[in-house]
Amino acid sequence: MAGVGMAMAAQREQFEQLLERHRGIVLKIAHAYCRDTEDRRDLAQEIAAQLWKALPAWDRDRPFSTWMYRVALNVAISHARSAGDRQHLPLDEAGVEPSHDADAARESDDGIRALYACIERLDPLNRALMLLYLDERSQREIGEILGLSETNVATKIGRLKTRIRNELGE
Amino acid sequence: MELDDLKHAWQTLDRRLQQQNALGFQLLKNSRTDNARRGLRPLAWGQALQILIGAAGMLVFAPYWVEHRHETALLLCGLVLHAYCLGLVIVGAVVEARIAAIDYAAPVLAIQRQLLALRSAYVIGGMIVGLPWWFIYVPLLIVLGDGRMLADAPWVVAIQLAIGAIGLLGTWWFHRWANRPERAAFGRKLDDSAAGGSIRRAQAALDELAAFERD
Repeated sequence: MAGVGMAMAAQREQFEQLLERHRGIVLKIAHAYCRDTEDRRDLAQEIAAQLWKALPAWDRDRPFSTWMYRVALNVAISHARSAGDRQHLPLDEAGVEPSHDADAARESDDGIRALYACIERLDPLNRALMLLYLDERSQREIGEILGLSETNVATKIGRLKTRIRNELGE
Repeated sequence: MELDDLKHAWQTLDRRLQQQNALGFQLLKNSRTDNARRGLRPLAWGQALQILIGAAGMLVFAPYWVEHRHETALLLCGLVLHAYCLGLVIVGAVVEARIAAIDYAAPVLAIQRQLLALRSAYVIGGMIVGLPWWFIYVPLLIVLGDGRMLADAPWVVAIQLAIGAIGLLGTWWFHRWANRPERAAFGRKLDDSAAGGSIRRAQAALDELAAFERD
């Protein structure tokens, strides 16, 4: 009985370390799918809970980050669907604190605003694709995460780029 | 602004989020944060209750039709109610099985399809369970009265069955009428009040998923 408890504690500790190492993924997904701080926190908690639950099914021969993306995006898309349209909040209220260097901050805040505006125009599935593309994941990995062939991913990314270029050009 | 600028903004956001730690990771300390599953829990409990009611109904109606196996009308009434209860169990079990099969570690498109199929199964199951009530109350009243209504006033049974048929046809016609293109807004409101818009939303999401795969 004590052995089971110790194994469980060790597994939990290992998971916490992995989560800490890859926490950026959870944070970015929560920011891409929710604009309200409370909502974002709920989503991040939900993702962490599902990751913990699904951990026994993780194939340790495959990258943790790929598996983590799958779970996190699945939870985020379901969350977005069940919650309907998210509230649209200005950047300052959206939980991204401005940097202290005024000029650099203004420039990068504008960039982040444009990024949010671009992400918001996408449906949940294309949002996932865009997020993975911006994160510079390989087409093979994107395919594994979304359940698409590499060719299909390449085509979709090409279309997404054209769409974004057109929107940015408007 | 170019695509490269978006990538740059994404990296900036990533850096800020890493420093900010606004969300905190006390997440794992709280084992009650299973909202995704919790969201499905009322559905799972509802289906479990439906299975229990169905099973209890079968236990009640099976002895009834066995006992009246030589009286055709009562035998049929018992069998219809038994079959309806079996239907309750099957529909409930199908939805429960779909809930249990949800694995968030599956590829995104696969699991989203599963979730949407679950939603459709639930709503369609609800219709399968609900619509027979236009008729099912007739054999139920006969069985509850132990066949007296059938013997004393068979014309009442005939009228009830006719009302049921008219009601079912009326439901179907009204649904078609309300969903004609010129009354699309009214049809949507009707669907929303009847099923919380679940079928339409699930269908819209499935269409979106199919379009994403196809395009």
